Amino acid sequence: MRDKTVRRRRALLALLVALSLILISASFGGSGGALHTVQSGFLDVVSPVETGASKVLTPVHDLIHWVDDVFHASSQRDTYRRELAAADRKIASLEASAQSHQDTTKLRRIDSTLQLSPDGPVDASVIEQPNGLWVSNVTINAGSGSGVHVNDPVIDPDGAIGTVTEVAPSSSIVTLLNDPSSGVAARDSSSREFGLVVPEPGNQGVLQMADVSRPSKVSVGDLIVTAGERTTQNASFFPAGIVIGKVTAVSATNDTVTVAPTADLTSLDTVQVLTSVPAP
Amino acid sequence: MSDATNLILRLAALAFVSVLVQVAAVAQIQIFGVNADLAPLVVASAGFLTGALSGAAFGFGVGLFLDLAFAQTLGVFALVFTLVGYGAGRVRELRAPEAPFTPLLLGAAATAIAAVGYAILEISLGATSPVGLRLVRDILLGIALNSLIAVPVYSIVRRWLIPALPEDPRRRRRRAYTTGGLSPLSRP
Repeated sequence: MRDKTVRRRRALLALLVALSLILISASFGGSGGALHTVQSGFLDVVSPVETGASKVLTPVHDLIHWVDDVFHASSQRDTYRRELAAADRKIASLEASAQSHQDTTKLRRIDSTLQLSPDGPVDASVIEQPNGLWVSNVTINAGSGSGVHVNDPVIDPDGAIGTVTEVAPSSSIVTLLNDPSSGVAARDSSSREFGLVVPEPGNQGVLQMADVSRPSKVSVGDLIVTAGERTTQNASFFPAGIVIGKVTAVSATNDTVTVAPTADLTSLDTVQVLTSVPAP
Repeated sequence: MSDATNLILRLAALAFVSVLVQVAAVAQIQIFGVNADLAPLVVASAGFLTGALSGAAFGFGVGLFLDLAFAQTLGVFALVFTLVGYGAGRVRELRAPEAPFTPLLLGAAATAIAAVGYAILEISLGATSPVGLRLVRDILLGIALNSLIAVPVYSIVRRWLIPALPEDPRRRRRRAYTTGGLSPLSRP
């Protein structure tokens, strides 16, 4: 009895496998014309049922699609956010690099124009900006190890910015032109009138050129540049011709000229310390 | 209507509905980039519940139905699912596993055999599908996805077929034992 069952089972399996193989052989390669007719006839019959079933199952279908889309959208959003953050970081880095390159190029041009190479220019970056209303100095990442000394003049791509007042081995503090203790001998580039550039009392954002002997000769819009000499004992010494600012107002009554600094003293980045300026 | 006729009708209806649902709905839904495949789960479940003989015949029928519905080389699905149905039935006849995770393992194995068997047959017939990591990944994801739905599919198939199945001696023994019929303790 058992043998009979086993034989029957095996016979059916062999039959079905053989039938499958015959079907494969017959329909493979488009050779089974009759089979293809059966197939297309079957599709004709089943298609309307499939369409109906598809319509009936549309809500389920849509629900699953919706869930899939939600998960997909969520992961897509996360991916795009990560990509955006990475792109932002890259842009910021490239912009900083471009700005730094631009500043360096400008400084090189100034060095070349004013022939500052003998003055031992040392490039540095500002690592601490002026912090607060009363602070008019910045910290740079060059110190005595780079040849920086106290009283060395410091410039940025837009002009003179201040003088080194403290030096550490790898950093220095630069006191800016708008600090009350600061003073730079300067002259009007058009009229050649001399004066001492100091911060305007009570207004740190503006400089003034004091002790101008003939203020009437100075015009609004004139460039004020360093004089290249020391007019008073306290004045800082800068090489001649470095731009300090532009004249914005002239007062004939008290011999002063108001000067807007060309360098943005509140936002400094790449600077240059002139470490070998010969004494006047 | 005899039990055998009832079983054949129920198997035919199961084959028709499962292929229809597969073609009309499940085949159109992708999860993790792959489709779930009801056919191997239904064939394996039916084979496991009804035995190797009915399983092989049911697998052949479902496979042929799919070959016709997908308008592809006739006999490929039929051959693969014949083997799946026969194998599932033989597992039941030889091992009779009763662990709760049996349907899950059965579904995973059936899906793996169907996917690999289908791929081998198609490649043998000259399909130009790229054989590589993508194919392996799709097969593995398909097995994982089918494993997730194997238990509910088995449960539905079992619920549908059980009225037509000859009573399982173990089930009868268990029921009799719990009602006190055959318990040695209940004997006088």
